[in-house]
Amino acid sequence: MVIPDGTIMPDSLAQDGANAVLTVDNIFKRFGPLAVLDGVSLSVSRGAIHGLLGKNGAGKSTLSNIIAGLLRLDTGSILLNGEDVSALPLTARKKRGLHLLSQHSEIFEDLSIGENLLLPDLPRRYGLTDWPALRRLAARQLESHGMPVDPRRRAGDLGASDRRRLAIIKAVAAEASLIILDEPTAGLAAAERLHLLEWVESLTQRGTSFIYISHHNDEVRQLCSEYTVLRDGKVTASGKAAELSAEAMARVITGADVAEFHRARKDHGAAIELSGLSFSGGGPVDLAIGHGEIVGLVGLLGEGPQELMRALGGLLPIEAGAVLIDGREARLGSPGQSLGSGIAYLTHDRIGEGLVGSMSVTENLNLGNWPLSLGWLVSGAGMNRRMREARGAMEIVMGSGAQEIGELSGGNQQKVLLGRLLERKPRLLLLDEPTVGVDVAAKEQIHRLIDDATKKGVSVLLLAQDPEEMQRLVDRVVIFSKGRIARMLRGAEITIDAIAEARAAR
Amino acid sequence: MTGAVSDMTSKKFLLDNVVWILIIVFSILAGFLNPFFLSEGNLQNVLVQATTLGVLVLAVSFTLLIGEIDLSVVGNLVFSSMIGAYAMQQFGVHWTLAVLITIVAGVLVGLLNGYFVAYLRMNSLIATLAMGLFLQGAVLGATQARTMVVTDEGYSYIGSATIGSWPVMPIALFVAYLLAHVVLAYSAWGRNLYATGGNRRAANAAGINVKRARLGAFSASGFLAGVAGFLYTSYLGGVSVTVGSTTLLYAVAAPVIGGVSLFGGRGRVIGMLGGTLLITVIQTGLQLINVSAYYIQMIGGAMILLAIAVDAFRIRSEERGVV
Repeated sequence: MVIPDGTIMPDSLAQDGANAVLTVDNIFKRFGPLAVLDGVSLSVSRGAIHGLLGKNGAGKSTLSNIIAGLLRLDTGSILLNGEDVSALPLTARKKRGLHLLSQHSEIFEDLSIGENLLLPDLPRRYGLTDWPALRRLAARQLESHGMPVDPRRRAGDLGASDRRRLAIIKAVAAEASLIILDEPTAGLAAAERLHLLEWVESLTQRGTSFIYISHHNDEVRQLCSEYTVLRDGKVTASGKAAELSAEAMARVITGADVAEFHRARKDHGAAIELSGLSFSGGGPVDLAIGHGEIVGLVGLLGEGPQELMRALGGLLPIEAGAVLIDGREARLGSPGQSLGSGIAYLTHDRIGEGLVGSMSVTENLNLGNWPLSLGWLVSGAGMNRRMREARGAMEIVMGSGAQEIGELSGGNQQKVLLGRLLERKPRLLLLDEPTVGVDVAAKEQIHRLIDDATKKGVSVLLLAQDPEEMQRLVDRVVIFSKGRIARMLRGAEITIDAIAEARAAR
Repeated sequence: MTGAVSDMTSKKFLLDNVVWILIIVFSILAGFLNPFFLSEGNLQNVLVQATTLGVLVLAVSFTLLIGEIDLSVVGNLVFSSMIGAYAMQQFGVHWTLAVLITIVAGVLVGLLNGYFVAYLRMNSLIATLAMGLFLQGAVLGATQARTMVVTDEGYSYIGSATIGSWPVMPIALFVAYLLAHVVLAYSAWGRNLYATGGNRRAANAAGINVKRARLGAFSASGFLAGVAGFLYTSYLGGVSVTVGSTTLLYAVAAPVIGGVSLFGGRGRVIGMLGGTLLITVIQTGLQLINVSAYYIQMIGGAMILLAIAVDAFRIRSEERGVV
């Protein structure tokens, strides 16, 4: 047996088979010539939260889809409560208590919370829906799982974390024995994340088990009692989460030591000036940003920082005030005008607002900024040259520029998006969660790319949920409250704790 | 290359070109039942029949590519050609000016559609359906359902002239498709249409003026409907006020048969041509093998269903695992 670099063989490898909810044995799965899962085994104990870790493309999603029955396995077996379910379809596995909740919360926004909870088995009377019974039943379930809301409310009005709670309660109420959670805290504020995690932990006391897929290693170490790490379709580590340090965890995930990137801080002359800027959702804001300075924005969702970024990027209307770049007023109002004025916005919603899924990698890199020949034709040679340069400079891992963008991993997609903006030679870069859904190694690379840009004098506004990421990158932190700048952190004041605290407090 | 890979690529190749395979299969079948089907004379006939439909197919495709639809193309065709014919009859304008007037009328209708959809955010399906009804009704009212005869030789040249034994009209078809290919596949404007159809929010965030792109797609659709109006009038020697509603359905079905996505962002010009030719081949083939006219529409519908079923199969095989 060949053991790859960084493999950890735990003492507890021999699992207690009788106490396992799920035993996955030696699964192989290939897509065309590519082996996505190469002999994967894992076992989930009853009442445990089992962390499933790995870079993008390591095989986490494929494995969870195979376990849930969305994909068929090539060889191997899946035992659920001792029964082989590997030949059963998704619905049959659901009936036996196996549920997969994906990143995108699956709720019917225009139906009530109660309907969402009880579908497809609404209580009936004379063949029609029995609304009073539905309300009673739903209210009881919601309350007993610690989410006391009125089941008659429209589900679409729920916040992001409550939507996820609703989906989880629905599974628990259906007597799930195992629930697979794929990135349940993506896009949530720190306080909400913590709440949701504590709540999930409380559910295990009823005997429900979870497989927990996450990019946040710290979450997994806090929450999970056991874990499995996938790398390139193989299990590289598994065991009890408590036995593993943060560094060791990062190492087994990437396969090499990830050198953490830290920025050198220095003084900056002012380059960009926001003066009396009001926008829908906040303001007025006065702020001067230096050449090559990274200013971190902190504040709850809807408290101003994201709105400020989107307004500067041309995606929200500006109501009053001015933006001065080197003393000259910039024309804003649409993304095209912002980009033309030297202001580039990197969206947090890569799939919805960043990439065009039906287009190639090269086209996505050049989108809206086509290199032209004869003034109206898109120059294929020009596009390919930019692609080559970006691929080399940003270490984009891809087959060819002609493949569809969706075939790249999240980190590489993000580099393409960042490359598109940098090609515009911006003066001000607005980074809204630049490393969301990106693996550990790509995250460090993206941090370096941001730092490289600042060395050329680009000023940056940064929004990041992760206080650690922000602490490592920023030169200054601006804390928003109710749409305005409440205070700032400078120099030694910028600590992870101070940022986390500023985020939690109003 | 391993066997599995070449298997996959050849399967993808077959599915991507299913239109052409169906054309060949159907032609052989029809030729077997009536040898005249495979003659030069019938080839000319098919190409002439395909010209007006083919330009209408392009018109609809421009709007399908941005994820919308233009159902007013047939109404626009009749309306714009009536305006051109009226200018010739009443004011005696030169035929070249009449052609220009026809096309400008088409563009104006397209601009109006585009304004409704892109700026007033009206639903394109209903707005253009209503526009088509309005235009066709307007023509019926203005002409009292009488055919307007066009006798001008210049105007009728392209629809009736021959070079040697070959009709001139199909040249218009190939020129239109060549230009559409260059514009859609290679121009910045065309790529902006694909980007807008593929993901409107992302296109906007990348600095593309999405409203203008959408307005442009409908204007192009109107322009092509005007061109189709000129071609059809030139071919018939008059404005036929009652172009069948099946023409509209074929103009929508053909791009989809040729692989243009109804959701926008995907579709090749060569596929649009394939869809046009398949529908024309089926229609003329069924006539030639003496299928009762009453059944032609039914069999045409069935063939379209088959082609779409194959297309759905192709999409399914690409997105396996997605419900």
